[in-house]
Amino acid sequence: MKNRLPVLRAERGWSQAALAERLGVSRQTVNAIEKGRYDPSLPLAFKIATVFGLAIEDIFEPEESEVSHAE
Amino acid sequence: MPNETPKVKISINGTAIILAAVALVAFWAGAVQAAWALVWLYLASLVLVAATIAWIGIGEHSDEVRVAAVASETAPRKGEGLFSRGVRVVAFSVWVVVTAMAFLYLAFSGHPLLLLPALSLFAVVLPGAGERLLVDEYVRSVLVRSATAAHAAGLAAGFLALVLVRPTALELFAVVLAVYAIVLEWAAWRELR
Repeated sequence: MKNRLPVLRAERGWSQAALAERLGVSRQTVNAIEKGRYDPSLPLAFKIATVFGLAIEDIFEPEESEVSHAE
Repeated sequence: MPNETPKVKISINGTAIILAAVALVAFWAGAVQAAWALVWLYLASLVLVAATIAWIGIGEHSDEVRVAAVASETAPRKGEGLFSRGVRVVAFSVWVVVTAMAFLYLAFSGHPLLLLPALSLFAVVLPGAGERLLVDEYVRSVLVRSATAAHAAGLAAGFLALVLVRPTALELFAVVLAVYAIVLEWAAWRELR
């Protein structure tokens, strides 16, 4: 799963720690999501979307292989 | 939406308590050498668990832990290059291996000088009280994966030791315990550093 988390965070001038604080998760979790090492749970994805004021699909985007599998 | 706040508690007792009880029974039964070996294993397991907890740490609430000392700044540290990060990883790995080897030696020889590497655990780990880390869904998954790897490594090491050197039951237990502790600590640190 690709995501725009680093860009959105940078636009707002938030550090990983600041975003983690807003989400109520560890900074390691934010780091792992940004690096693509971890896909967040659905509740956490909703929370991320809420924090940025966007829809989930504006932040997360499936990899091409994931889309082709679904089709 | 469900509350993301995790409810994870870290428990430390089982192995150490059982080892202590068995050691007492061994002393009582006159198996002094085996009893001393168990005492060292008991202390070794306590120190290893303490080191792990000190590294991860425990916050005021059961759902909070602290990343201390070695892991206080997740990789890469600010301005840290690949080389210095590699040196940090190697130094920590060597330190854990040397300490664990010292524990094993202590278990079988009881030479007091070998306590020095064990004390290094406290010297290196305890001084730093790092950032707060929540045991959330990601951290929990890391801990589960680390424990799985530690189980597999412990079993494999035990099997190899059994085939290659035909150890006593106590030696076999010591090997499995040491390998388990090393892999658990290293695997968790590797992802959460």
